[in-house]
Amino acid sequence: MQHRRLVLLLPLLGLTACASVPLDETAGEIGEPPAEVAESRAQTGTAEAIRELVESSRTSRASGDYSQALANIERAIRIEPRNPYLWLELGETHLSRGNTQQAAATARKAMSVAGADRVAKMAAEGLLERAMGP
Amino acid sequence: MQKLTRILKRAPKRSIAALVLLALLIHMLIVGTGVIRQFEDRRWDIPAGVYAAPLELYAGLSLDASGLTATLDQLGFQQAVAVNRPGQYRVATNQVTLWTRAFQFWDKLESAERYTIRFDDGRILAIDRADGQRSALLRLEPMRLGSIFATHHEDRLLVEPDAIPLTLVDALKAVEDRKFDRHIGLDLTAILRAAWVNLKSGEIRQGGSTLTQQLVKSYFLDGRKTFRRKYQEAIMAVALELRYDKQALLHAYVNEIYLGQQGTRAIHGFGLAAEFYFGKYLSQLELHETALLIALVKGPSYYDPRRHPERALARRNLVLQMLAELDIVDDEAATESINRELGVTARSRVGSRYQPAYMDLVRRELATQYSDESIASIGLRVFTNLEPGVQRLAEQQLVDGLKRLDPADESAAALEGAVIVTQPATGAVLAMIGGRDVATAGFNRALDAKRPVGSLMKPFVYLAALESGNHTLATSIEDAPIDVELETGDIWSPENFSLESHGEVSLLQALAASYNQATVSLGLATGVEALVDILTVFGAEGPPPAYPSLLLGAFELAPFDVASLYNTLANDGFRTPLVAVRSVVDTTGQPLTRTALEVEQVADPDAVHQLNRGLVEVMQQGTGRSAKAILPDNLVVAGKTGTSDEYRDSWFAGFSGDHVAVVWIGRDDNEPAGLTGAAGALSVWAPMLAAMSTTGYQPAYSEDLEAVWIDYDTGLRSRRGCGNAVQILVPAGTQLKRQPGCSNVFDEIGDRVRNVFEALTE
Repeated sequence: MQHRRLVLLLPLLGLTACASVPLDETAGEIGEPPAEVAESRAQTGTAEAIRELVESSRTSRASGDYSQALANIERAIRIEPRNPYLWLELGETHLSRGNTQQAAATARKAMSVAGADRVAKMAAEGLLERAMGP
Repeated sequence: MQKLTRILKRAPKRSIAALVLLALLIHMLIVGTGVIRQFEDRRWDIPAGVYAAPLELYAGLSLDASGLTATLDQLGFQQAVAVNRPGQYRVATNQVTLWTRAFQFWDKLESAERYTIRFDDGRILAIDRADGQRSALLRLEPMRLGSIFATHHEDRLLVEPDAIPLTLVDALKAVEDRKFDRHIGLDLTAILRAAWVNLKSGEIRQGGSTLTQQLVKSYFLDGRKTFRRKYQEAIMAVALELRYDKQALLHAYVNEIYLGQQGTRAIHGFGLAAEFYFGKYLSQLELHETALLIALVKGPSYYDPRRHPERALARRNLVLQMLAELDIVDDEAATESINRELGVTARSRVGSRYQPAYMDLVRRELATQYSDESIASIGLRVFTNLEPGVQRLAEQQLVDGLKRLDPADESAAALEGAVIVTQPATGAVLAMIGGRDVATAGFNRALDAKRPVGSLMKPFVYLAALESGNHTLATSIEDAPIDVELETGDIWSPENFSLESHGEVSLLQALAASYNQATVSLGLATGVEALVDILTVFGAEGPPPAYPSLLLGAFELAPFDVASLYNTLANDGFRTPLVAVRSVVDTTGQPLTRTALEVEQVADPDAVHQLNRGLVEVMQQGTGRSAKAILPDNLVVAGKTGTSDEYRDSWFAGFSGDHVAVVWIGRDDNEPAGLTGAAGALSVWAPMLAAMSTTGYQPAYSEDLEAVWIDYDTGLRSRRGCGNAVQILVPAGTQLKRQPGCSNVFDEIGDRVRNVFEALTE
């Protein structure tokens, strides 16, 4: 509710824009990112390395090798700790292996670094809901 | 007795001889078994091998060619004209070609491959494999930090059999025991020669010991030179020779022999000696250095190159001459080496491969999961989070800083220090230093020096206030004399550092300038229990009782615990345990344990972001402002100074976007160090952060917060550039009173429009 109101207000608040919070430009993308985010990532160049680790992590997770999946995603987080999509991957892995508590905690962490990235934020909310259960 | 004499008298002479021989044999057997057991114990001990974090190379990484080659040199890669095999590299303009060595990591085997890495403007541009394929990520093998021996607090750098340089082997035999390959533990001619000398002088002067005998001697650490001792040694040496081959004995010798002393610390083995005297791996020693170590075998104390350089030099050159005469080295190399200086390093070395404080942490972490015995004997391989580059920088800055603050001679210097650096998001401990003598095992102040934290406590007082929802950093608060009645009935009247009170101030200023009276008044308003609750969920040991003096940091913590608390601030209110060990694998590379990355939200991220803005202001115009002259202009950092009563402890804890670092400086005897947090710890912290490759602190955007400009002193709403206007974060929708003369007409219109709009949409 509240953010819908903020979206409406954005043009008006532009008047006081000198006080805007700096956005976290480095928030990254994995999967289906907004095009402009993907572009900014390509500039820094880490995208490929991260993508490779995420893909290996997903493959391992799909085959039930959670230890390997975690090892890969943690390697990626060490390189890019403020990328919300990596925390989401970590959370999904925790959820797959039944660790709902860590899945929820990791979803919250993803949310806190998502910044203005709504796609990441919604994904984190979804993960949190699934982790908390019915 | 009489009976025995009678029996002996009656017995034939031959049986007496047989009896004596039997007794002798049994004695030999007992002594021999003893030494074999000792040898077995050590021989089959494959201590845990400990590794630093690997360097991950990828396009976009901030690293230039010289940075990469420095790492390769440390890993023992050879620079070559052409890269023909693993372990070589070649440098061209903006380009490095290297052939990696295969390495079994905890998660997979990285095979040996040839890569070309191109650089552009201080960053990696691309990594290409020899077959032309682009590679996204290249993980270099990690640096080996050393080994962990569980029993006897010995520290050693174990040298594996295939890592013992051939020159060392040949030279050892030539100087100490020329018949090593042929004798059975004793060199009879040498013994006779020694006996002759000893007989003439009437006491034992000359040894004539073989390498095997020397090995035996060092097992039992008994320097007495009695005939009985000699006899036992001889039996033991023969027993070892009968049981083991020459190579096993030589390997044991290289790792066992005593080569020096530093205080109570005995330097055993050539691996540690190479480190101790030259700061190098054994395999990296040059001829004149190897020769010095061999010279020391004869008497590490008499020939101590640091205390008696002329003796050491003479003996080293004698060794070199012998080696030339026996054609083990050619004359030219010997002459060249004879002309070299000793080349030993000063005591306090920086950039050593041996990190005792960090190893101590590793050992403690392992001890929670493994028995002493398995750590010391089953050949575990331990992968840690230590980043050699960060560790080196931290060592450099602490050593330099302490020298600057305490220019006394090293032996007289009383000032000590400790440093910890972590990665906020993962809790990885990247570096740790336990004292000014960075390369010596001893009291680990980073983990064990529990000291009052002083003003380092303040951020948590303010966090409690912000989390309560009743305050923002713009809230105004009274900084005035205050009397607090304690449980004891005494009255406590805290003073400000300047002994002055400042009247009405903003929370922001009270925090940044570290006002005691305002903080106590705020803490009492919020409740000391709220502070205790925060410390508890943040994981501080204790938890401490809720006494008012806690508000000003009357609470003892080790630097490591402080790092843990501040790591949670830097990590948006998420707590993650600080860890050194990332993974442990067995000898075959099978993972045994791994430390999972786990987080727990223990504070409201929005409250933490508001607080951290205040900690940024500490560095702008608060007690940490002196760092501005040292830090790069665009690097935003947050932190807090701490000084305990009578200047006993000087603290600084702070963070950038990528690193949390805590520095403590004080004295072991707890006498006043005479330094504030800013004058001491911060003067180490700031250059350390400046030298690191790190990014600025920047909170993630939150729609529940808005950034506003306030007046630093009053907390009233202001605008950019007006007076001392500072930007802070407040909960979205917070109404702040305006600073007269600093309001912005557009702001006011905006506000009015917003108010109308909100009324419409409500």
